Amino acid sequence: MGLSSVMDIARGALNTYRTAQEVTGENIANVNTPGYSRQRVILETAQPNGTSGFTIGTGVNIAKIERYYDGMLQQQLVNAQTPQGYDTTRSNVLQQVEQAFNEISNDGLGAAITGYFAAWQDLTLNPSGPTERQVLMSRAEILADNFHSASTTLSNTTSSLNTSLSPLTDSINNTLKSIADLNGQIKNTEQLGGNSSATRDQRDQLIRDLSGQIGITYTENTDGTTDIKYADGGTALVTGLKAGAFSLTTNPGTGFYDVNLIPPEGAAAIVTPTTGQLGAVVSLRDTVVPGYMGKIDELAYNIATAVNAQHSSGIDMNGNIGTDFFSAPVALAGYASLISTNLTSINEIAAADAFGELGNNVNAAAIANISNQTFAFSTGTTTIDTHYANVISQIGLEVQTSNNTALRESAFTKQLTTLRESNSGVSLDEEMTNLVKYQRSYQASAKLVTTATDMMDIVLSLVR
Amino acid sequence: MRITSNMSGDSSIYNIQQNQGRLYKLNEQLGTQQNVNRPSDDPIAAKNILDIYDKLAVQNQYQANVTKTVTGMKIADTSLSAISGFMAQAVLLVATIPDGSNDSAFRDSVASQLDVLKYQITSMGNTQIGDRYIFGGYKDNVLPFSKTDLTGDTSVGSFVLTNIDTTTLNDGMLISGAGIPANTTITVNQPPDAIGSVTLSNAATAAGVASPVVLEGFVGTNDNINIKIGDNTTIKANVNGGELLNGTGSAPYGNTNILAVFSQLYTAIKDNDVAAIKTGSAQIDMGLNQVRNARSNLITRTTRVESMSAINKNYINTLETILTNIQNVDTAKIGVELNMQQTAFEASLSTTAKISKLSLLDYL
Repeated sequence: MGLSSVMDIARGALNTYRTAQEVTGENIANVNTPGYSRQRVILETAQPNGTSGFTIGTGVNIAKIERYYDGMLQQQLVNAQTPQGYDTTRSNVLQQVEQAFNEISNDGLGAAITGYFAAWQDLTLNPSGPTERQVLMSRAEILADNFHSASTTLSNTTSSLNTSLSPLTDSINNTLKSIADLNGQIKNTEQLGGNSSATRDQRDQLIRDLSGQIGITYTENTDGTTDIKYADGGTALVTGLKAGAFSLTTNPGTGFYDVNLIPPEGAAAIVTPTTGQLGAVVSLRDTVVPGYMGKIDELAYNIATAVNAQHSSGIDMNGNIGTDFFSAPVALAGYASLISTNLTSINEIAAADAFGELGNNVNAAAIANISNQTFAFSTGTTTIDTHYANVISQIGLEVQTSNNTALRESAFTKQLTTLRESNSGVSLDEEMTNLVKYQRSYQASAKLVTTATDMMDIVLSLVR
Repeated sequence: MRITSNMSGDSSIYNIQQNQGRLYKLNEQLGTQQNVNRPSDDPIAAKNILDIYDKLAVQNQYQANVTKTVTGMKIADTSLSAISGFMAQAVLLVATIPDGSNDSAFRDSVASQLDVLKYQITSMGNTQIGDRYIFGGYKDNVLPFSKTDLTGDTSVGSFVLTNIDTTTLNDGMLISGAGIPANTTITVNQPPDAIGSVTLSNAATAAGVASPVVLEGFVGTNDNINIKIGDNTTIKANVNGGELLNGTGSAPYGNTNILAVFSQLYTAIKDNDVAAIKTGSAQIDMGLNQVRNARSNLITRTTRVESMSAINKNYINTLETILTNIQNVDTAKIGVELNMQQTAFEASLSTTAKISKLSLLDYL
């Protein structure tokens, strides 16, 4: 042992604390980087030297630079993202649909239906009155317009949902590709013994992003790569350095996109997504919105069928047997978009039930009474008004449920994120302290150099 | 637990968002003065609100029906009152000549007064609201009682029967008198609801002796015009002209053919037929009762409609109260909540500002 070994210790310490300062700097710089896990320097005493008979240390070494990372939290975050993505998308879309049925303001389809039957009531008081007849015709047109508007809103929603699949699958494909690329980088870096903390953080963040879009399961391999499987069916999405992709093909039957999954190895197959944003979009497009559409169609169909039947048994002002009041429904599906008045003049309104009696209001009263009749609707055997109120209430309930679920899930995710932040997040105060700590240590090590140099000078002066 | 600056930042953002959301909600409720602004605010309340809106619309429609019905009934009552007045005058008039008279000038005078009274009764029977004849039943577009002049029509030249069609002619149209003169042209004006055509060639050739063609018929129908004034209540809104003046139909008020009685009396007085005058006099008394019966029946129905209107109004009030309870914002309550929420919001803003300022950096 000699003074030179003191110099060695000092040099090693200076290097170590400079590196420590670099790590601190890295942490400070990335304080706001999403997904960044703070890193710390693990110091250890260097291999002691026993040549002089005593075992004396040889200074400090950096054992490793590690990142604070909790695999369990990452797993939970990934699991939480999927339902959150699903319910947030659902909640957003349903809120738009709800606006189209905002009956609370009382001037939508429900009011149009009530107004239509009220016009028939008015006609019973003056069956041959041109004003009453004109009002009835315009009420009928308003009713048809309201059905069209409701139907258009819903079909626009389904088609925009369908269109949104394209950017969504593009984004998923990009993420899958990036994960596969990062897998490659991590594998290479770690094979060379390098530090891949930052890349791993990036990959974790991408996996979390991906899990909001689709349901996934993932496993980490020994070579540092992560394999990802699709939760809906278990098909591989990323295997090592190879990424799969989603593609869209137009279904000739529905005119909508079918979602195809091309695994990293193998042939494309049609999948039915049920989880994450992708699942929400597909289920809204195929089930939820068409469900509402069906209920509106049902309403239009039953009104038109009942009114047509009654109207055809009446006599109009031209002395003819009544025709269909509304265009005759060919099928229930899609009727709300097709309903229109079938009469060409107000004289064709059949208010009477006998020939030659212009003051006869029997048929008008019978048609007005349709609003009190019950029909076998899918929501139960109820009157037209009640069915519609049920539909509105159901939409409201679904919006409320999805809002609440989305809210609860975002609170849960926030809690998990807080836990992750608590573990892996950068605390500036902590880094400041480290900064000062390592600075002092660096100063002390430098002092060691000057002290050793002084001692060396003394020794050299002895020789002079 | 280890706390990092980002944690407090994230927490602040989350909490401020939550507070702002609640503030927005309260603000919206205050602004609209409605508790439920979209179905998802409270689906159950939304359904109740829609139900009440529907019920209100229906009840308001019944109220509108009631108003129009009562108007029609009041006008009908005015006519009935007038008819009953004319009938009373006729009774008095006939009483002046119970045993006939040898003074033909006096008889002519009485007869012509009767004629005037009949003409006025017929006019009242043709009362209109707008262009509808209120005593015409389902045929409210045609003149229900043809105004005929008992003295005038000697049927020289042409005689025009207006506003009749085959149905009425076969069914109830009375062409009384001794016949239609030869060469009489009967023109039928096509009614607006022309159904089929009218062939009157037989009627024209049935002519015999020239004498007045007396039309006392009722060309309307005796149908009830039923109007819905409550969920399970419909009411007859009209008085059937035939039942009123002809004693036809189901004859609920009496079965005197008042118009025919006038014609018979006219002839009897002109001919000084004492027996016929006595019969006619008794019948015209019955006729007066018939009109009075019809009137009291109408008044009973009017009262019923008006009481139904009161019930409807009551129901509307109840519905509106329920609606108010569900839907209307308790401004005081929301105001206080808004205040509390504002305090909470300000507190979260202030703590965020204070915590964000705290940093070791300031002390190094």
